[in-house]
This record gives sequence, C-alpha cells and structure tokens, in this order.
Amino acid sequence: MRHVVITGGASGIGEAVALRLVRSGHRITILDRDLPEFAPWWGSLALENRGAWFSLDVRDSAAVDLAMEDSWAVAPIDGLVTSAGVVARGSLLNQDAEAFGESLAINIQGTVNPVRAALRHMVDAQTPGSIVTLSSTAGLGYVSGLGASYHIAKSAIAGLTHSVAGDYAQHGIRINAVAPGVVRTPMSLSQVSGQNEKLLAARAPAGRLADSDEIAGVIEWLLSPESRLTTGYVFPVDGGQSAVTGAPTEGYPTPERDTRVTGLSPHHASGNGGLL
Amino acid sequence: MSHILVTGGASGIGAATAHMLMTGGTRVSVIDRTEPGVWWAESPGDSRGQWITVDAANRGAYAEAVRTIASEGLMGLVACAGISLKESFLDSTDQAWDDTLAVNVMGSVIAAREVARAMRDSKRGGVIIFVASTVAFGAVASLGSHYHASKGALVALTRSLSSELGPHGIRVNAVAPGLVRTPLTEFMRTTVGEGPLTARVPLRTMANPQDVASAIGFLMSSSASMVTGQIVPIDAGQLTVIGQPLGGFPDIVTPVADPNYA
Repeated sequence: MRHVVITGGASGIGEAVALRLVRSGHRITILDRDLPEFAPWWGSLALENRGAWFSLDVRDSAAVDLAMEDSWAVAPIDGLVTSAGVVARGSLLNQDAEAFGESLAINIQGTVNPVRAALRHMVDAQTPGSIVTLSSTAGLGYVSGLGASYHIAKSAIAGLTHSVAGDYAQHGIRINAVAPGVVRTPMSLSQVSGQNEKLLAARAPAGRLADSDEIAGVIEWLLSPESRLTTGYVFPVDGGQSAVTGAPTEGYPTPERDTRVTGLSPHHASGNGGLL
Repeated sequence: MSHILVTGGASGIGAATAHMLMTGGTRVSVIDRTEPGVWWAESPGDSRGQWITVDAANRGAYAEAVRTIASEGLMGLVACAGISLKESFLDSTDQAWDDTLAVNVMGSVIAAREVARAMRDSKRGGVIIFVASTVAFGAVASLGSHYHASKGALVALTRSLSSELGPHGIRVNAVAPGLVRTPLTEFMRTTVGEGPLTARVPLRTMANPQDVASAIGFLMSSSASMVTGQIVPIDAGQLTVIGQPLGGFPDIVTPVADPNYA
C-alpha cells in the first residue's frame, strides 16, 4: 500500500485518480478548496484507504506546507498528484489583469507549493517518491479556445517538471507531467454544449473526448514503480491530438471502433507488470 | 485470451516483452530471424502461439509470416526487430544504410501494415507498438547515423499511423528506450563502461529489458485507451536533459522505488 496526496482530488481528474488508487488498495490524502462533504465517496472509504482531507487554497504556501506535514504524519508520502487548477479561456486581449494573475497563481503557485512541500519531506526522509503534475496540450502548443494565461501556466508546469526531474533524481524522486487533451470533466462540460463536443472530438484521431479515468490510468502508471526509468516526461493523453500537425479538413470521424473496447486487460500496477 | 505478435522476440526487449505478456496470460506469437530458445519451449503451452523464423530483410516471406499469424486474430503488435551498425557517417556504406533501414524501418512497416489490415477487417481495433529510441530525439555518441535515422523514421511513422488508424480504433505508440542492457549495447558497455554511460542520465542507471517490457505492457493495456501517437521514454530522464552538470549527474543518494519483477 502506498500513500498518495492528490490536490484537487474532490472532482474531475483528481477524483478519478483518487478512486483508481483506492481500487488498487492505496491510501489517499486530498488537498482541495472544497470540503469532504463535496465528495460523497470519501466518507465510505475503508479506513486504511482514507488518509486525510485538507480544505485549503493551494496558493497559500503556509497552508500547503502544514497540510503536507500532517499528511506525512499520517503515513510517509510515496506519491503526489497536482491536479488542482482552473481553466482560463480569454485570449490575451480578452482577459483582465486580475483574472490573468489569478489564473497563473492557482495553476503555477498552486502546483509549485505542493511539489516543493512534498519534495522536502521525501528528501529529508531519504525515501523515494513519484510526482505527477498536470500540464495540458496547451502546454505543448496552441489549442484554440484556451486562453493565454492557461497556455502560459501549463507550459510553466512542464518547465517545473523538467527542472525537478534533473535536480532530484539523485534522491530517488521521479516527476512527470500528463498533458490531457479535452476531457469530460465538470470544468470542461460546463462550457461545452453537445454540438461543440462533436467539434472538439473531431480534432483528435481518437474522434472522441477522454474520460477522466483514462487520464487517471496513465497517472497511476507514472506513480507506480513500473515506470521507474521514466522521469521528466510530459506525457500527452489526448487521443493523438498532439501527434497531428495537419488534421483532415472535416476533422476525424467518430471512430467505427472505440479504443476503450479492445478486449485488452486493464493494467495492474501490482509489481509484476504488463497485462497481469 | 488475447493474442499478440512480437517481432524480434528472440532476444533483448522483444524476448522480455514476450515473456512478460505470456506470464500475464496473453497468447504470444513471435517472428525472429533466429530459432526459439529454451525459455519458449518451457513457457506454458496455451500462452505459446506460433514462432516463425524469418529475416525482416526477406520482405515477401516476412509479410507472409505476419499474415499467417494475423489470420488467427491479433489484438496487438510489438515490433521490436532492430539492428545497429556502428560505423561513422563518413565511413558508412550504402549497404549498411540499406541493411539498417530494411530491418528497422521496412520490417516495422511490413509488420504494421499486415497487422493493421487484419485489425481493420476484424473491426475489433487493436494496439501497435514500435520500439524507437532516444536517438530519435538527439544524437547519442557511438551509435551510427543510420541507426539514428531509422529510429527517427519510426517516430514519424507512429504519429502518421495514429492519425490514419485512429478511426479504426487502432492505437499506435512507441517506446523510446535509452541505454538498455541488451546485446545491442554490449559493445558500449564493454568499451565505455556503465559508469561513464550512466553519468549522462539523471537516474544514473541503465534500463533492463524488463523495464521497457513493462512500459509496453502498459501501452498495450486498456488503461492507456486514450494514448495514441505518443513516444514514451524509458530513459532514466535522458530526454529531459539539454545541459547536464559538469562531470555528469551526481551519485544516487536514494534509489527510485523498484517494482520487483517476478
């Protein structure tokens, strides 16, 4: 059993990671602005899977430091997933300075704070760890519909990931980012109508949007020792969108066969690898 | 029980992948230029598919072998067959370029094309995985320019096929191993030594074939259902580095968590 701290774990990708890790038998701790009542599943977790829940603002480094210290006291931390974040859609001329700054602070400071706090404990205790940050396809290139501050923040998170990977490898700490494309989350679906969803899906070879759990599947692998030689990687989980430089004019069709239903087994990070 | 084809399955990454998949209850068929080793005969009978001995350079027979195996139905292809020649660019011959590209590129193309046709016709989707390399993204001293070029071609092939085959429910990805303890790197390990070689990478270690097999197993699984067109490094952090510390990366204080392969 490993202990994994998840920021933004009350909903969306963070929640999907939490549920996946619990299914695999791990202990999770949540840092979120919401109270645990927001996530009805939290109360029904078995005691050994339930670490702690801290309601805080990830921009508040003192609060994050304190929460990490208390989390460590529950059990040494083996993994961290920084999924707290906000989307910003205004182009550079369409987002006021205050909203711009707030978007950068939540996404960048809100990632740096927990990464630094967790790193400090792992290095001091001389225990290995795996960190997964949340970048985006907007951290790799231009994505229409996402704002300048979002592009900047998600690139910054990729930069943080490269830096920490190089500096802390000697301490047995791996750090990778995932770069999701469009995912069906409350954050995205609140702004995507049925018609838009089809257009968004047509941008990727997979021809559909990702479910949160499909992002969580990659995060779980990156957290597990089975990816022990992968660090500093920004892993696109986007149905192939980032592999495409020139898409078909009409976009990609809804696939005749969904990649979720291939008759392949799920990956179990149980220590013996592969399709076990 | 799903059925997966591993080319180059007799040694190195291919053998580790075949072995790991078979241990996990997958039926594996192998195409290699060499005959099966003892481990193949000792593997559980129902996990053993066909073994066809043929060289990728023999295109017609190679395609025929892939078709024979694909006719049973295939959920996945892992194209591992590859060679590496060491001569410098200035001394390289047309023959060395032809040989390298014939196995590393055309071998992968032929296997993927036959398998993808079968997957399209079956309407069941599937997964194709190529073995690229960190050399596709940056020069690695003492590996040949033909090897670099062939692995770069596989990266472009991965991206192109992810786009074309996505609508058929076929995911196409690659792994990019850095330094792996395989027969292919034996000359570097004996001439340069593992110490100086690993000073280039943050995690200060070479990969074992099982580490690459583990990533392949993940990409093959349903947990990677939204991953296509990607090249996943198993490189101890090599690709994240542009400017390494003078004298190489420092000694390891704490090793990374290890999976304890069975």
